[in-house]
Amino acid sequence: MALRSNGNMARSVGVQHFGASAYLSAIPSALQSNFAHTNKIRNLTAGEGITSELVGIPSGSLHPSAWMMPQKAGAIAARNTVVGTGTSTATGQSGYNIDGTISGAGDIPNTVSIGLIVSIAAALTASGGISSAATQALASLVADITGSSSVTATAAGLAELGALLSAAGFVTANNTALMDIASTIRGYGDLTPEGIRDVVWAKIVEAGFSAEEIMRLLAAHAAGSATGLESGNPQFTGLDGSTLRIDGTYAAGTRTIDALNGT
Amino acid sequence: MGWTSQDDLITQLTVNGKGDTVTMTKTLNSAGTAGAWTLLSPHNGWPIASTFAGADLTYVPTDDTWAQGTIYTGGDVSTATKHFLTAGGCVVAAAGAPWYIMAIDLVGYVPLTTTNVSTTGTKTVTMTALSNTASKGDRYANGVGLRMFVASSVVAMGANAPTCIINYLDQGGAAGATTTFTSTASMGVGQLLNTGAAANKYNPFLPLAAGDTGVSDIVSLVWAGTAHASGSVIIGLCKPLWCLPLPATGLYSKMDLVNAMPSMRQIKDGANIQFLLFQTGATTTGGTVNIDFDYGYGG
Repeated sequence: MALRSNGNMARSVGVQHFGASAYLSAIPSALQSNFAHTNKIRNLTAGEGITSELVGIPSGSLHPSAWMMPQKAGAIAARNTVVGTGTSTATGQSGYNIDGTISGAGDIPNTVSIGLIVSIAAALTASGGISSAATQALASLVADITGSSSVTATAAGLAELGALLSAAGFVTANNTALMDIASTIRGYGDLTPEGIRDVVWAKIVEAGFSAEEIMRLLAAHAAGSATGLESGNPQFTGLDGSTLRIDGTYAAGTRTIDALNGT
Repeated sequence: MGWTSQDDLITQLTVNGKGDTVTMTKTLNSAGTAGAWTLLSPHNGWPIASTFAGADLTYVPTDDTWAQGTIYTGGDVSTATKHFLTAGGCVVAAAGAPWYIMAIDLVGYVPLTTTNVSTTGTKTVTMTALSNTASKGDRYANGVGLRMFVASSVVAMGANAPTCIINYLDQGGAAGATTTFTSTASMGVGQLLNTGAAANKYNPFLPLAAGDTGVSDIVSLVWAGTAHASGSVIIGLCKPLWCLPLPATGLYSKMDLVNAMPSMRQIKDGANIQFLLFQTGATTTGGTVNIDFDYGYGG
């Protein structure tokens, strides 16, 4: 009589039978074999679901801790690790040195507060604006602040500020009690010689004529060529020798201006 | 790949809920044939009995939205992949044991009815060859891995056992591939005409020509000899997935597909999961077949 496996044969390859029916001379559900299933659990990666041969059970485990050894070495597992994505809001104070790069596509809002830093070297780059940031009581601030929008900031109580401010918009700043400022300010704003020049000469003095236009009219009258002085039709030419600046008439002691050109 | 490790598998199932259990039950409409296979889908139960609608001799692709008795397995999960985790089954019948249950993905079928069954000659099939696209009908690119069977579909077969020849294109589209079997007279609904214990039978799928690894196009079916007196058939095109032994009546068998070899066979997006039943003896009419499986996906 041949030996029969008494119901255990299929179990060892991953199939179990349950029920009060005899199979191979026994009721298989009553016969428990090889609880660990050490032969078949190694098939875990031999299919389409988990294809990495580095997988062990538990992941990353080797002898003697592994329940199932991986087919190949190379997996690394970390336990008790928290991995997540979120935001962080922080206040840094009383630090000694901070050296870092802060880059963002958004704004740096006024919830940022940096105080009592001995030294900070940082590059702040943002495509948005930097608004309402307060930088106070810094011993040394070396920073490049670059923005395509406005930079509005208050810097107070700085021992030394070495900064390059470059902006296509405006820089509105309030700097007080500084011991030393070394900076490059670039822009066609109010405080440049060119800006002061343009504003002064563009001042409207009277009847819509700017200071620059009135100066041309006076120069024409005082030093320009003139015609018609004897015929009662005086015309004064500008210092350029061609532009008719003052065009008038004279009769019976009265001068009448027909046209003025100060441009 | 569905998961990066067993830890990941457990997390996806227990934390992210990416998995479920499916059950189905069928009651056999007629007595089975010893040594033959039976397609369970046209039998009553749940899912509903398939009627294999469609124009004669025109290929009908099927997927998980098929209205004639498919099993829902959670829908599309791409770019993740979905896999079987366990499979269980039980047959309760006075005769027929032992049985096998085979799960298949029925990619499509060609219906033949009335004179396309009861007359001999070449029955030319209209079918667009499977290719390598994102279409669910092409879920097995170029038909690689697909196999064919011929089953009685809605009307049981009448007398006579003609020779049946299937002409097909292989996975590379090469013409001239042919496979032949001898049909069986009077098979009941769902039974595979190409299966059985006699000569020129093939269980459960038709053999492919040497070197072929799949079927991309069904070209024609030829009945030779004396035609079946009546009946309706389908040419089924499917991907075999797993097989489960059921050794005795009332004995519930459960297979661990996570650790079986090969483990965790993939359920493609759009897969139309159906089942074939092999019976050693003639399974009794009214015998019940219960099948369940668990699936999961990661990503």
